[in-house]
Amino acid sequence: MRSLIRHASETACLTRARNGDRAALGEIYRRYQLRIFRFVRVHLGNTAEAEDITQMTFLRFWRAIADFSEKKGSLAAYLFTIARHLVIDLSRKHKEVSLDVVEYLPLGAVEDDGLEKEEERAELQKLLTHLSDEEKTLVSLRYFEDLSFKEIAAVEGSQEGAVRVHLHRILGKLRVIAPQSL
Amino acid sequence: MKTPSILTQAKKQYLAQKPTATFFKSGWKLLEERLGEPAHTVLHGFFFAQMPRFAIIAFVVAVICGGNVIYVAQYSKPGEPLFAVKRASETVAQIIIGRRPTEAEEASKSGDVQSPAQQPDTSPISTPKDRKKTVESLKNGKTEVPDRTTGNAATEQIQQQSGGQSSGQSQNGSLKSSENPAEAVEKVVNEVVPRVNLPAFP
Repeated sequence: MRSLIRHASETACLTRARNGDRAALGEIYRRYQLRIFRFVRVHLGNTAEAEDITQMTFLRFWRAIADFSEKKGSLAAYLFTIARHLVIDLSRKHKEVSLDVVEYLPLGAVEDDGLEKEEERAELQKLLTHLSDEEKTLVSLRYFEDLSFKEIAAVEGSQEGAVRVHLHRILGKLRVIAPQSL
Repeated sequence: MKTPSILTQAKKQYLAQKPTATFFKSGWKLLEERLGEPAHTVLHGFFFAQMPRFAIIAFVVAVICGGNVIYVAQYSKPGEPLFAVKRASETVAQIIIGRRPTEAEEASKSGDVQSPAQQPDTSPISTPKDRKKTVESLKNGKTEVPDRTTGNAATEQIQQQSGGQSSGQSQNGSLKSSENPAEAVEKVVNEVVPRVNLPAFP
């Protein structure tokens, strides 16, 4: 029920935003700001760049909002697709940017209630270090952002079945590496 | 199953990622300043988003309509509006198939064969003067019938006889109009019957 209400209000926001209503875009921004930021932050490992990419994602969405159709996929999938492309573009420009070498940066001025120990902070980074960029995307979208296989397939530009198979293999891989990393 | 617990823990850490307070509070204001106007209006965007579909539909409609017009044009005759379409389609088909033109088509192109409309008029009554002469002769009971084989006019006497009398009269004068028809028939029969050994006319 809550998801239906949320979907209806999201559709209304989209309609208004398509007509040039900036306040409607502001509503969408507030809903997806953190989700996009986290997704980008996991890939880049840099808070400043992640914030910049988040802004760019919504800027690009605003410019191409007329091309977006909910029949093709959900708004979340569309926004994550834009963010993923921007991350890939940035990674090409800065090939040296990688979770392997980037120091785990402090999370800024916001208090981290869930991360009390410094050791726990590094656990996510250690886990994701063993995964490629594509595998990080799949794991993030499926297990952290709770997107459906269909939505992930839309983001990846592949088939739903292929996403399932790929995620199954990633889980097997994590089972093998988990004792070493954690 | 250790992996799900790993992912559960990793999710907590994932969700714990937060941006700077500045970005979290004033991110929208900073973005709003950079927004500008949307690139496309709704109709404009809809048109461009649906353009491939429009193009395909327009192409199919054009092919169907054009095909029907060409099909109907095949039954058109010279002077009709679609005859030009027929000629054009034949020319295109000829170019595509590579068929050589027939001898008649080549001759008509070179001008050796002329259509009846293109030939000069040699009819003896084609001029107004001839027509007037013909009308006068008809009034006088004398008609000039043009001989189209030789181009000369042959004269034929037409005598109009009233009272239902037979107008048959040979040109050698064997049957004269002054004679009684019954006598004339008897005379002819008497001349012919002895040759075929039939009894004489009573």
